[in-house]
Amino acid sequence: MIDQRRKFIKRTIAGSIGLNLLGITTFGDIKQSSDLTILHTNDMHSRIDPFPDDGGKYAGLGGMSRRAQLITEIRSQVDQVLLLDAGDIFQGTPYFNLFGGALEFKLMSQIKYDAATLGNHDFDNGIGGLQEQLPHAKFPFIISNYDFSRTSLSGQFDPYRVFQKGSIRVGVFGLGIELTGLVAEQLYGKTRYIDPVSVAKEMVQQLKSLDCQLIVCISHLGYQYQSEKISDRKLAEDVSGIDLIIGGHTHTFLPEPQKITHLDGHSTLINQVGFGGIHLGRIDYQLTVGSANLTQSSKTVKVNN
Amino acid sequence: MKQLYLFKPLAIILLPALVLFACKTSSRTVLVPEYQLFTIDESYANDSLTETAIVPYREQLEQAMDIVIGHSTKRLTEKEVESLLGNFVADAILEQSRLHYSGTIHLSVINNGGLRAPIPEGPVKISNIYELMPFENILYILELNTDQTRALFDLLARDKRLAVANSVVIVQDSKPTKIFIDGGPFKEDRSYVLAVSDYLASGGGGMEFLKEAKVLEKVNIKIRDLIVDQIKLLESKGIQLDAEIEGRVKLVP
Repeated sequence: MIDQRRKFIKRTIAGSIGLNLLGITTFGDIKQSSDLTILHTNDMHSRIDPFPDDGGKYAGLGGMSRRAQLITEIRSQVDQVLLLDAGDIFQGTPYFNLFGGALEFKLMSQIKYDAATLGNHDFDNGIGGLQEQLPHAKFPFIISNYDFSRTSLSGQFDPYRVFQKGSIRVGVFGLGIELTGLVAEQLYGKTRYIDPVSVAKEMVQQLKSLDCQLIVCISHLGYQYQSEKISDRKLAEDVSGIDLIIGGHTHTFLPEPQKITHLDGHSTLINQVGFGGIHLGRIDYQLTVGSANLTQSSKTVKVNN
Repeated sequence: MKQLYLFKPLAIILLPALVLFACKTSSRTVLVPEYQLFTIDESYANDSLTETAIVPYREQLEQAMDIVIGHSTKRLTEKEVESLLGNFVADAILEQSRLHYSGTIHLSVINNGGLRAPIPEGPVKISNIYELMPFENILYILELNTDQTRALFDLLARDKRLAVANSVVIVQDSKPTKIFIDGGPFKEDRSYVLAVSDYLASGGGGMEFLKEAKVLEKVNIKIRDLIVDQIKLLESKGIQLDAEIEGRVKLVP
């Protein structure tokens, strides 16, 4: 089995060098066993039910019951699942207007989300509105660059978490977007926004010191901007050591994760799967004890990138 | 584009993004990522536990939302420069705010980013207006000085993502060359009264300049309710919702 897998890996490495500069090779319907499966959503915007069948672009897509079914199926196939959301859980359908986000949190808890970060719309009913719904969330919110110490949400969130998934230690931290100009000041109150780049560097060091083998950032910064505004791409360029950024905010649909390679050879993958629960992203990690051959191949690939 | 959202789950190998880390031994352990994207469509059944949790909420919601409040001659959608939906909503805000404020209001503005769903052709339900305007924003009446009025039209001409009522602007090279408000040309020596959401009034949507404007009144009514009331008013008069592209924002080469 392992031999087979190695052969497969070697083949695909060779293929990726030849095929495209991104080094991402696409295959149809490949199923392998997985040592860690990261599932992710972003910007679900209270889309409990599928998009209405109104002839619109997304008519009939999405729906939390269907997503729950898919996630249950995946859980039955693999042992270690980490289910993450990148924020903007709230706002977008009357479910939020009528129930304030209670159902969103209840369902996410029932589907066993491991963690989420905060999006700007999660402040739409103010600090108080968010606090009121927190008892419905049986999963932690991870946010590293908002300082809530002067608000009633002080101590409610974690700057990072370490998840032991089988033999893999995964460190997760979260980044939120600057709220000024996006959210009315009376809604976010005395929440203080801290520069994501400096916070991310601290988080990477912290999670490395805790022996995390995989460092994941759940981010609501947005994928990319024309301006100098901090984005997932900019973050990936400015901070080395993050293995995966699960992004949100810009409702960007990436057909596949995008890779940023640093001068030191480390690569960061960035992914974002649109909005409204239309998609679910899945990244399977295979734990392989590298042979000299494989390590060499990996290096070759990095040089080529 | 649509095709992109409909392709089958796809597996992608991300080999060059191997995560390498040193183990206690000299050999290296590698985490090899592989990607798969799922589009949630009708091929997935409903998870019964989740569905059971939703049902009581859905029933309550449908009862509140499934009420026809008016009828629309056509589908009103949002787009850059000038749109059917933008014009309709800006007009609705202006007309309705005049019922809630005793003084003169010259114009209203709404940002396209705040219009989150189209109004469908035919029967219009409360639910459509919640989807159009999900935000809990309330109405502000602002007095704009010359600089603030100019800044508003500068932003409109630059971004082309604002809808105005009771105003016309000629735009050349992303700058306003002529502005007409309330039937007359924009004058430098006077102020104008604007009906707007608290979100924009507090500097949202790139309108930092509105933070400096004098607040004449904070009207504790939601923008969404203004739109609902306007549609109900039209329905009560037997008038169908309509809007035209009528040259409120004219681009000239």
